[in-house]
Amino acid sequence: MIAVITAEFRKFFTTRMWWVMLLITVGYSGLMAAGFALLFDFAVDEMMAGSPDGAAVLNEVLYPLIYPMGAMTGFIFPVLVGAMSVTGEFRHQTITGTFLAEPRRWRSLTAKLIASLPLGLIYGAATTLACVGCGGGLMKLLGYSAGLDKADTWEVIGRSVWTLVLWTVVGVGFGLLLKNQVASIVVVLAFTQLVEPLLQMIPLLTGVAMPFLSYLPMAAGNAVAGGNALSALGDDSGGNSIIVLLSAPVGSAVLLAYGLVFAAIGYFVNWRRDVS
Amino acid sequence: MIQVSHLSKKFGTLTAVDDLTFEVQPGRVTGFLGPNGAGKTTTLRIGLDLVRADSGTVTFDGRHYHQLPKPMSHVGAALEATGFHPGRSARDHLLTMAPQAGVPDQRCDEVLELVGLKEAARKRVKGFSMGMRGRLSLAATLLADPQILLLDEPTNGLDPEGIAWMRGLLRHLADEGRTILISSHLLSEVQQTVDDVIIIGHGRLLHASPLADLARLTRQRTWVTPIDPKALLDLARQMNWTLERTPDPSTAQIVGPTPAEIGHACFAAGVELRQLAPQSQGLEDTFLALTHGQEAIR
Repeated sequence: MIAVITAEFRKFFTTRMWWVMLLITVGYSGLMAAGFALLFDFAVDEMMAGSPDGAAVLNEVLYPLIYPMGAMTGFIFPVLVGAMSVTGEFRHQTITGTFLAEPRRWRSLTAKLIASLPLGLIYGAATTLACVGCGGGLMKLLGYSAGLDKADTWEVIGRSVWTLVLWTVVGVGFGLLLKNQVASIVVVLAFTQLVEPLLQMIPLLTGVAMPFLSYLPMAAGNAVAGGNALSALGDDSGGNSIIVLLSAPVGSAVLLAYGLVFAAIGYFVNWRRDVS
Repeated sequence: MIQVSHLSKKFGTLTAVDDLTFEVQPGRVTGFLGPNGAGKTTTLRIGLDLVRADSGTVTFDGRHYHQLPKPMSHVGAALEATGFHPGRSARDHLLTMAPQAGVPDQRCDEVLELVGLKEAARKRVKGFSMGMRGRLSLAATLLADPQILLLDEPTNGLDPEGIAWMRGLLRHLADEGRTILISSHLLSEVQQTVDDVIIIGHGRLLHASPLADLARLTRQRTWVTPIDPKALLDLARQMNWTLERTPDPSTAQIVGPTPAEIGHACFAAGVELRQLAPQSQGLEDTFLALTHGQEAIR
């Protein structure tokens, strides 16, 4: 099994995709975090002028939002990386070689899933580092606290990394489910940028709570990455939460389940199929 | 040894392989021949567990492909010159296979040198010609030094020099006792390389024998130019020969008997001939005649 996993790593690191996608992920997430820090500074100037206490309070609220910025918005890149590690094999017909090297198909699939964990860790760590570096660095430059002295902040950082690991597994699973590379990229983008955000707007617009929406992938991912800080934003004036996020452990389980269920279906629908 | 036993496979209503049985012996280069669509690639893919058979089995030294502990070290297979990521270098392509082949990384450089790709080792496959891709496929099959080689159309894209080189390499590998099966849709492509031939058409076995025995299936044709055409016609009727017209009205072709038999009969009957010449028929013609027919000839 170690040989199969080693081969998966070698496949991953011998094309340009991994570092091109890593640069995009890091750049995107760093910019998002920096943008958020600037927005924060602007908000303090505009709204909290002359109220240093208010600024300090806002400062506290904001670390949990700046640092998981990559995990909450840049997660599509690890998803695409995971998906392409599967769809690329079908696209370039390297799947033939993969199956020749390991004809027991469930083993080659398990290797892909296991290999995605350390790869997700690399993307997760780099992305989160970009957020801390750009977002936290800018906060420091602007004269605020970056919060790195607090244990809570480090929990947020750890969750961000973990969320991106989970998203990578979801990506691999989704690639197995939809093996056409172009189709899988389009569906990932459409779902994450359009479908789920629109669905999540429904309770906000209608005022009707829809608990099942918290089980959708992005809501589950945000529950792991952002947790309570996000829930607080969805409170209506009466303190009733309309956006209900799952707890982080449940969110992790839901996200992992998406990855594994996708992979299981993909195994029967695509992976076990004849290759000709 | 490779054993194919009562193998059948349908794709929808199309029968790709139909109760196919044959054996491939070690120490010999065997040509697996048949026109495009005869079922060669499907047979190979079933053997390698890439495609499921409807019935029948393919075994390598008695074991199914998926039962081999390190399959790449038992069976080296090159299926067409595709299956490369265009952005991966030749060396990296082999490096991705090395862990499962169970070989150290420097073995990749060795096989690249063996197939003549040393200079191009670090170039991306995107820029490779058909011939270079073929060489890289071959390098991959040789990585773990397997006892059995399956090569699908290995001479595709190779120049004459490359074909001669491939021939020498396969001969050398067979002489080491390996089992080598190479597929082709043209007998002439592999005629100088193979010891045995297995010919299939419409998924069925048409012929399996040493190459030399294929020649025996050839029906002898002889050019005959008589002084008196009518005398020859009479004799042909009497001897029950098949006489065929040729573009030259004074010359006929007799199908069946050898030139010696014809000469003797003409002499005995007093039919004088101006020309008696055997038509040299290539094995390719025999092969084509075989594969155009629907019935199995053994």
